[in-house]
Amino acid sequence: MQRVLIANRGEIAVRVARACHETGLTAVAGADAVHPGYGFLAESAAFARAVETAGLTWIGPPPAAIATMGDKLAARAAVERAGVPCVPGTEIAPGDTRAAARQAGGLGYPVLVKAAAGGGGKGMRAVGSEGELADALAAATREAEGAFGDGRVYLERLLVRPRHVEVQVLGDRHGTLLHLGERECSIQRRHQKIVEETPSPAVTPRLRAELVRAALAAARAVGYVNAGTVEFLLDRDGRFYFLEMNTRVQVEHPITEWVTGVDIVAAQLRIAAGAPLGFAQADVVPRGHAIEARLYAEDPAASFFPSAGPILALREPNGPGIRVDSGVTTGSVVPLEYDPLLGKISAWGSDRSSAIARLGAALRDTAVLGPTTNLAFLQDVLAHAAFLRGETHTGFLAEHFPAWRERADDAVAAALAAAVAASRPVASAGGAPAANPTPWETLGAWRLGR
Amino acid sequence: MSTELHLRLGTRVLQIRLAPDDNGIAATVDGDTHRVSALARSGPASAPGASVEELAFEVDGRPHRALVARTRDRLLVALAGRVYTFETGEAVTASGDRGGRSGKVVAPMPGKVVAVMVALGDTVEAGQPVIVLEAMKMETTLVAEVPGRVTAVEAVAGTTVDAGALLVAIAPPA
Repeated sequence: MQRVLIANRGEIAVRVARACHETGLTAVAGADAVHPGYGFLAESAAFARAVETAGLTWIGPPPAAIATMGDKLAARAAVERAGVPCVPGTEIAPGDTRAAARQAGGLGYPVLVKAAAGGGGKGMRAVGSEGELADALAAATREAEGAFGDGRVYLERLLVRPRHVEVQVLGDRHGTLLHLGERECSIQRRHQKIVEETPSPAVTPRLRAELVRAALAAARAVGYVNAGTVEFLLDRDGRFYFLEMNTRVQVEHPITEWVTGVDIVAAQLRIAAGAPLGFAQADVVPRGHAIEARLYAEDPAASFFPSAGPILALREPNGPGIRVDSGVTTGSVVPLEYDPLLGKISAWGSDRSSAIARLGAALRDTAVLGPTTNLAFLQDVLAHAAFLRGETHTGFLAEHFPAWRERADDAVAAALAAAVAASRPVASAGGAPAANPTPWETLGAWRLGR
Repeated sequence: MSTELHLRLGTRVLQIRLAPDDNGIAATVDGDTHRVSALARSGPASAPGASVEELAFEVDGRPHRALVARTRDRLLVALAGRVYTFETGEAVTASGDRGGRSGKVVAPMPGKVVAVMVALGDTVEAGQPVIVLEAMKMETTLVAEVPGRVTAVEAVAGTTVDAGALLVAIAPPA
């Protein structure tokens, strides 16, 4: 394995290329190995098989494990056999709304309609009562068919205000399977995460021991190798249930790298090359607290609707304990066709409050001009009293931010900046000074100070 | 020597007057006076479709750092983690209640119409779903902002629409 094709785009392509170069590999076309990033190819068993059949190295789990975990119904069956608790749920016969209504009644409302081939919140609908069921089944089926080419849906009981807690696992081909602790990813909109942290403020050492035991059992049940994430819902009574396993590197992997010091993508490359992981469970000693915010081109004041277009200007934050995983630069055009993730900003601190403070300062220092982004919204989430108390759950945004509007705290200062900028000529292409300088260019304009 | 301009921020129009003096700029915003000082700027640089510069300055002694992109009819300012979009020129004097609720349901961005849930002549409530639009592989439900009667249905399920396209028109009760 020497040349790696990265079959994904955006920030994760940059991230994987960086790990390849550090390992002495070349990331190119005409490769002998394929890293799928975290896009849809990452969870395609058919693609993984095709890569291996072509004699290339697949940097990911065995295709059979992808296939089992990719079918949510098969995954539930496999992990239940291994003693891992699952959310109460049931298969339904396609097109038989009456039977589905009986089954939903048996589970007890609210229920969740989920796509068997699902992921990322697509093909998923919450149903509060029987009257909403038929529409939800139709919409979820349609969305699942569109997104996955597989319209099968099933029902699960909808837990009320659970936390989303997941466990990172790593396994090599030499029998080592270990975990890198948990991440809490409860702050979600459209069933997609936007803020993640580790450790979870809700997980005690005793609960952690149970969670990681269940995660390793789930991974072992499908013969898992490489990096993967076992997702759980943590109920308010402290019980947890298997949700699904993501058979790939996760968007939020940097926070685990922050606290464990393990480079997860580099580990993926080592494992795929057939090397042993090189460390044991006892070597994994998490330190401090890490938190990540996902910067999306979307409008939180308009149902988080995606926003496309060119990036006119961009400023990324930096400083101690700040990491930026970005896939865009000034001049990049945010396309309509893809998930509008611009990048991720993560922070490390010795404890939760210092990590949150660092991330908040980093977001305040970030600037994106062009498409509408969720930057201000993320800051308001991090500053919310309930968030600071660690009282997070998957309905957090719906509960605390039902009708968020951008605040114009510094409107006067911003207007003055706009007025100063507007009161001089637009830059000419060559950057030559204006022929007739306005007063603004002669009044200490280039004085550099603070 | 001074400069006067009007900038629209949402539904608000700010009247700004700048007059340079020995210590920087004496500014008024909607009649309130402010002092802009310690101005340092880098740029402008040309970006596609915009001129961009970074400003460091103080307003009444409080330091700020702003990134400003100037397009044909807008000034976008990033300051303290928030973005302020000011409209300049004709857009400022154009009429229209941008902050108010409208009987026009328009596509917020290009996408595919998945479902049309109302018909001509229907009576709808505010908040009632009228259109399901798909963009970036996600479905979004557009709702009626005002109660009333449906007077036009331009959207056709299965077709693609441009941003700003009128999908459904609703006339509020007289």
